[in-house]
Amino acid sequence: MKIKELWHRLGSPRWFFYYSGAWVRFFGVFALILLSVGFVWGLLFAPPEQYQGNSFRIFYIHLPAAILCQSLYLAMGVGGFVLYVWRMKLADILIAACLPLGMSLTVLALFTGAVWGKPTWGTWWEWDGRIVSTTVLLFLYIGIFAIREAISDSELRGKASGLVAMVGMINIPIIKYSVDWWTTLHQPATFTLTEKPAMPIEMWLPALVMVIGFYFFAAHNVLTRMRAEILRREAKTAWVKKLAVKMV
Amino acid sequence: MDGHGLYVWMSYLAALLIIFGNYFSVRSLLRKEQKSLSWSADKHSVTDVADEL
Repeated sequence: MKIKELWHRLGSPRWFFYYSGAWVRFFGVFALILLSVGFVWGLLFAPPEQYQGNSFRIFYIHLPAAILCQSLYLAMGVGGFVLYVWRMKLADILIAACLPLGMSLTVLALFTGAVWGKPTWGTWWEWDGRIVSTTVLLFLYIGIFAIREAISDSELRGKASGLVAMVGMINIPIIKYSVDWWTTLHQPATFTLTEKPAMPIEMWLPALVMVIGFYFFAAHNVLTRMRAEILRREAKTAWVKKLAVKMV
Repeated sequence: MDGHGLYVWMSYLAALLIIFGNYFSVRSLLRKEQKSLSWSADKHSVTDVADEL
């Protein structure tokens, strides 16, 4: 299938609903396997860090939560852009689907960061560039949630939340480069595209397993929410009524 | 865990809470929609039978 054809097909909630079914199962199964392995590996078998000791194990939760909350926001921003340019209904559905998990992972990233900061830096909170910009990300998520709850008109709701999502994307590079731009307590990037990781394989491999596991979980969760939302919005269409008859 | 056990367990339990919370909330959302659709389909099939009678 050509890319242009695929793109236009993606605009059809019906096509997306049927096509995503198998992917949801695939992502779900692999998320379960990878997260189970990653949790046990990070908690019990990965070596403690030279200076931080066992509190370093929080890294295996903090890193994927921090990466995912930014990725989900980027997905929302891209959804906002697609909504404005191509007016695809599915783009608004994507924004709604990414919101709950994105918000909860941002809270998890901030919580685990605070819990890790206490034994490492001696403080739960610091006015550090990365911590503050991640808190701003949480406020952006809450803002988009509030907009979607407050506006009843679906088109206006989509456009308003899409606009905030797009504008808020400027915060993502700020989060990423804050450790380079400002003097900060927060450590610089562990993984870069151009250099070897600054830790041995026994430490970065479980982190990689957790990051991939979290991504698969996010894909499973977002696709399932999108499918539920499609059923709700398209309830009066013939194809959903036909599907409902099969369920009886 | 050399005195850091509480911090580590708090983080892992919070992560499990977030994962299970999101998983079950989305599952119940999908089930609710499917239930509402099958109820609606059932109602229409009963109405169709009533009309025929």
